[in-house]
Amino acid sequence: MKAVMKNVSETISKSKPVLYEVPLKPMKEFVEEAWEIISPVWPLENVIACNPLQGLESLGFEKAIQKGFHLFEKSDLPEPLCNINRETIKWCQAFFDRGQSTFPMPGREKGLYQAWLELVVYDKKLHHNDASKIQQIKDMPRNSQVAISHLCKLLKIPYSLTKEVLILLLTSMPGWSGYIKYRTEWDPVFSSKKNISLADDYLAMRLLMVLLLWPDISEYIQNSKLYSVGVDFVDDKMSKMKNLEEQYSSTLLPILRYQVKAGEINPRKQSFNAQLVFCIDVRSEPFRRALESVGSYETFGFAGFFGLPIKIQKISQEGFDSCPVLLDSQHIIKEELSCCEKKSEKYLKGDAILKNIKRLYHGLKYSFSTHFGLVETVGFWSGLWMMLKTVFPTFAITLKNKSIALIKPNVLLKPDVEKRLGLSNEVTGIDFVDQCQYAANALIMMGLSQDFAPVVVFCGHGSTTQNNAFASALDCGACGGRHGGLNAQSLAAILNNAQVREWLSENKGIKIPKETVFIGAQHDTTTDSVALYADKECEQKLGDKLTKLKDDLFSARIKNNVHRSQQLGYFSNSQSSVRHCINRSQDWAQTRPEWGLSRNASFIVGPRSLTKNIILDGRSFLHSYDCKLDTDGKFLEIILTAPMVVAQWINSQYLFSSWNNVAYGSGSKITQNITGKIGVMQGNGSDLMHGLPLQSVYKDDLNPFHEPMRLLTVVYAPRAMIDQIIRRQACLQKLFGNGWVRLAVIDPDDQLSYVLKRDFTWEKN
Amino acid sequence: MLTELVTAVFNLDALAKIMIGLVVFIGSLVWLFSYRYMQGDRHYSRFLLRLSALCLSVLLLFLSDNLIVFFLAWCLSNFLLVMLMVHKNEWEAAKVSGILTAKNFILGAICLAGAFHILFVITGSMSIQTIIQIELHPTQQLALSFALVLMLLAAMAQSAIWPFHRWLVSSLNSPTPVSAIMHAGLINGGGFLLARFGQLFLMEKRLLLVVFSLGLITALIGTVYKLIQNDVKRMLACSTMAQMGFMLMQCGLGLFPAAVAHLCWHGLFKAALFLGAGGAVQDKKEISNESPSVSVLISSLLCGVLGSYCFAFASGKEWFTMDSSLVLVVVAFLTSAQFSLSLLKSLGKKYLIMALFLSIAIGVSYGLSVSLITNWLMSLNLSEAQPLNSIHLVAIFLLIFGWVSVQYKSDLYKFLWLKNNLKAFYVKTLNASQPHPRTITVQRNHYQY
Repeated sequence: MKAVMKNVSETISKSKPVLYEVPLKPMKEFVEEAWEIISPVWPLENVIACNPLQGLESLGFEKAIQKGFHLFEKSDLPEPLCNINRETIKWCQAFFDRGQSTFPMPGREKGLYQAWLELVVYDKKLHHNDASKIQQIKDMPRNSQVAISHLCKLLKIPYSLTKEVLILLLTSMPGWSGYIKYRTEWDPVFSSKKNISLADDYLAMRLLMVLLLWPDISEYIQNSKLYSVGVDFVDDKMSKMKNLEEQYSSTLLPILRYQVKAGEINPRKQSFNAQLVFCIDVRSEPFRRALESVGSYETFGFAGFFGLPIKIQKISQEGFDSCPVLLDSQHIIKEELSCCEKKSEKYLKGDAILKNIKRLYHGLKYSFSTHFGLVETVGFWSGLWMMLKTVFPTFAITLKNKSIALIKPNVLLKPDVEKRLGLSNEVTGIDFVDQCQYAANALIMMGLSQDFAPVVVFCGHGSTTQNNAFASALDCGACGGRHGGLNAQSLAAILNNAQVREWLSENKGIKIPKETVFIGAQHDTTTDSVALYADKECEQKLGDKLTKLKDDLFSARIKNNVHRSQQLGYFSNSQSSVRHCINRSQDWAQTRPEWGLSRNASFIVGPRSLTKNIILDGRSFLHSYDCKLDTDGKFLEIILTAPMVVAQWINSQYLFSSWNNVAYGSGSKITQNITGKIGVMQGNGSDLMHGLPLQSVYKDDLNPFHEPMRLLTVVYAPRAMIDQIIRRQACLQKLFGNGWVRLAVIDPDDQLSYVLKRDFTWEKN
Repeated sequence: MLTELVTAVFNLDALAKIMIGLVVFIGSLVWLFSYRYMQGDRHYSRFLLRLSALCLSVLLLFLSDNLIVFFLAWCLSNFLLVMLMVHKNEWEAAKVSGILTAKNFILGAICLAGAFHILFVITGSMSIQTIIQIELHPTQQLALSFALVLMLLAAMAQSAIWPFHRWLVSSLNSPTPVSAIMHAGLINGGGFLLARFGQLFLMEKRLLLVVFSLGLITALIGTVYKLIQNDVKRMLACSTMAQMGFMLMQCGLGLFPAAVAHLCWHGLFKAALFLGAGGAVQDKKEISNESPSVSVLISSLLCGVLGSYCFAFASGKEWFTMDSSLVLVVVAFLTSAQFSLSLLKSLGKKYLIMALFLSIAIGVSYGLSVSLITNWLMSLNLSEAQPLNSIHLVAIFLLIFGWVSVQYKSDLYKFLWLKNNLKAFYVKTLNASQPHPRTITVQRNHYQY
C-alpha cells in the first residue's frame, strides 16, 4: 500500500515540494488535485468513450500505465476500506438512482452529503448503535467542504499524507468516483447548479465513513509495509503492444506513401452519381469502400455531428445534446412531423396511447398488492412473448414494431432548423448567418466545396441492438452517444435552402448547382442498412437517381454484411449474411450484435484518394481533408484538436478495456446488473463498472478481438504546417509528446513519410 | 417388470403434467437463449450440459411418486443449481453466494429427509400417492404434524420464504439465464412440495394458518424491499420473494391449485423479465407520482368492485364469501382498482366508462387464467377454502392499507411527525434488503470472468 502512496507522493513532491515555512496549502487544492486523477464516467443512456487514465495524460504513456497499475489494478485493499466500499456502494446506488426504485432515497434534492447525513444516523451498519458515533454524526458540519477539513483533523491524518488519503478513497472505486466526476463537470443538467458540489460531498461522505469504520486510518497509512509490484507483467504487455504498433505502422505508411507516389492524389475530375458524407467512425470505412465499388460514388469522412452544436428536442421526450461532449450545444433543434395533418394527429395520439399503456402496466407492477394479480393476468402472454423473442427473434421484433405502427404510424420526422420563437418564449432553430457559417465550415473542412454531384447525402449513424445495456456505446460519439440521423438531416435542410446557397456563393465562393439536392440519412452500423430521409418532393425531383442510389446502397450492404458476418464467426453467402446481421440486431440473447469500434488503430486525415485503393479493414477513422483549401492550417488545427481527440478517447477506451477488462472494462455481460439505469455493477453489487464489456473487445473469455494499440494519426499535409499547429496547441503537445498518440505525416512536397518523435523532431520513415 | 417399477416410482398426474409443461417450456427457452447468450464463455459446453441436467432432474422430481426418488431428485437439482450459480468459479463473491445457497438447501434437504422418514414410519409406504390418502390413527396425528412442519420448513428454504430469503437476495452473482431458470423453476419447488402433499396439509387446519401467516409476512416484506431497490436484478429477486410469499398465502388459504396457477404464471413472467434485464436502461418507468383526487379514487374503487366481481365469476368463486378465497377476491379488487386508477389519473374522469369496461376485461382474464389451471387440477381435490378467520382479515387490511399508502406516497413526507420514522424505516429496509456482505464485490479487481 505504501508503495502506492509513495508513488503518488513522489510525483507530487517532485513537482511541488512541501515546505512547512510557506503557508500550508488549503484543503480545497488537495481535493481538486485528488479529483484530477479520476476520469469521468458517462451514464449508460449516452456512453461516451473516454480514457480511464485521462488524469494521468500529463505523464508519459509508460509511466502512466505503471501508475495506473498501482492506482487501479491493485487488489489488496485493507479490510476496513472494503467495508467502507460496501456501504458506499449501497448509498451511491440509492442516491444516483434515475428511475429504478419506486421509493427513492428521501431528501435527495439536498445533495449527496446533506441527504445522506440525515439518513446515516439511522444506519446501524455504519454506527453500530454506538452512542458516541451517533453523536459524531450529529456534530458534523453541514457543509461538505468544511466537513472534509474537519474530518481530516479528527482522523489525525498528517498534512503530508492528506492528498494520498483522498486519492486512495477515490481510486479504490474509480467507477463511482468517475460517475461523480461526470455529474460535477460534464453533465449538462447538473453542472448549471454550481452551488451543489458533488465532488466535495462524495469525499466528505467517504471520510465520515472512514471515521466511523476505520478510525485508525492514519496509523495504518504510516505503518503499512512496502509491497513488490508486478512490473514485469506490465512491461510484457507493453512490449507486445509496441510490436503490434510497429507492425501496423510499418505496413500502413509505405502503402500510403505508394499511393502518393503513384499519383493517385489528383484533383477530383470525374463526375459522380452522388456524393456521400459519412462519419469518421471506423465502421464507415468498409461500407464506404463497398459502396464505391458498386457504383460511381464519391465518399467523404467528417465528424458525425456535421459541425452543428445542437440540442435535439424530440417529440414528447426529453431533449439531449447531439454534439461532441467537448462542445456546449448552442441551438435547440425541434423535431417535427413532416406529413399531412391527419397523420400527424394520429402519430401524436398514438404516442400518448402507448405511453398510457405503459403507465397502466407499470402502475400495476410498481404498486402494492397488485403485482400479484398482474403476474397471473399477463403470465401467459409474457411466456408467449418470451418464446417468440427466443425462437424467432426477427419475427418477434417485426411483429412488435408493426403493432406499434398500427397505433402510432411511422412518419418521417424532420428537424426544424429555422429560428423561431416558441410559445413559451424559447428560441429554437439556428439563425440565418450561423446556418451559413456552419454550412461553409463543414463543406470546406470536408473538402467538398466544388464539383457537386446531383445528390449529396449526409449520413449519420446509429446501431440497432436489443437487451443491451451498452447500446449507446455503439452509437455516434460525435453526437454525444446518440443516433446521428437528425444532425445529418439538419445540415441537409440548411444546404437545401436557396438563400443559404446564395450566401455561400457570394461570401465563400462555394457554388452549389441548382439541381443538387442534399439528403440526410442514417447508417445502421449493426445491419448496414441506410435510411434515406427523403421527403416526397425530393423523391419526385430525383426519381430514378434515388432508386439507383437505394439499390447501390443495398448492394454495398450485402457486400459489407458478408465481411461483417465473417468477423463475427459466420461464414456464408450474401443473402444469408444479410439475414444473419439482421438477426443479430434483433436478438435479445445476443451479446455481440456487432463489433463496434473494435480493432480501431489509426486516424487518417487526407483526401479519400489517399486511401481509396487500400483495404483498411475497418480499423481507421477517416477524416476528409484537403490541405490546398486550408493554407493557414486553421481547419487542420480543428481536426487535430477535436475529432482526433475524440478518436483518441475512443481508442484509449478500447485499449484499456482490453488491456485489463476488470480494472478498466466492465467485465462479462452475463453477470452484469444495471443499477439506477445509469451504469452496471457485477452481480449483487460492485464498483460502477466503467469501460466496455468483455464481449465488446474479446472474441471469447480468453482471446481478445481488439488488441491494445495506441492511435496512429496520419496526416497528408506539409510538416511545417503541423509543426506550427503543435506549437500552438498544448493538448497536442501532451498527446504526442507523452506518447498517447503517434503522429505520422505524409508530406505532399517530398512525398515522404515522417514520424513525430516524443521530442517533437521528425524521423524519416 | 419394468412397467411395474415405473408405475411404482413415477406418477404422471395432472399436477406433474402441468409442472413438467412449465419446466419443459421455460427450460428449453432458457437453454436456447443461453446457447447464444453464453457464446465465448470458457465453460460454454459445461454450462449447457449442467443446464440440461438441471431440467432433467427437475422433471424427475415432478414425476416421482417414491419418497427416495423424490428426495434424491430434490437434492440433485438443487446441487446442479448451485453449480450453475457459481459458474464463474474464480470470482470469490459468486462462490460465497453459492455456498450460502448450498447451506440453505442442505438445511431444507435435512428437513425434507426428516419429514419423509416420519411419513414412511407412520404409513409404512414409500409411495406418495398412498401416503396422502392414508387414514391415520389419532395417535399418529402428532407425528404427522411434526412431519408437516418439517416439510413446511423444507418448502420455505426452497422458496425463499422469510426468514430463509437471504440466499435469494444474494444470488445475483449468477449468470442471467441461471437467475431466469431459478426464478421460474426451482424456487417453485417449495410450492410444488406443499401442493404434492396438499391433502395432508388440508387435514391440519392450524398449520395452514401458520403457512398463510408466513406467506403474508414474506409477501409484505418482499414488496417493500422490491419498491426501494435501485438495481434491476435485485429488484426482480425481491419481487420474486414477494410472489413466493403470495403463493404460500394461497397454500395457506387451502387453495393449492390457485398457488400452482400463481407459480406457473409468475414463472413465465419472471423468466422473461430476467432474460430481458439488459434492457433496463431503455425501459423508462412511466408512473405518475401525484396522489389521486378523492373522486378518482372512489371511481377506481368502483371499477375494482366490478373487476373483482368478474374475477370471481370467471374463476368460479363466489364474489363475497365468508371463506378464505375472499383474500384472492381482494387482490383482484385491488388489481382492477389500480388499473382504473392509473387510467383515470392520466386520461381524466370522463374515461370512467372505458375504465369500467377494461376492469371487466382485467377481472375476466385474471379469473380465466386462474381457473384454467385450477380446473385442470380439479381431480386432485386440492382446493378447500377455509373458514374466514381474523388472520385473513388482518391480511386483507394490510393488503389494502399498503396499496392506499403507495397511492399517497408523495404526501407521506408532508406529515412531519412521520418524516423521521419514514427515514428510519427507509434505512432499516435498505439495510435489511442488502445481500450477504461477502457476496458483494467490494474490491473491483476481485471480480473474475
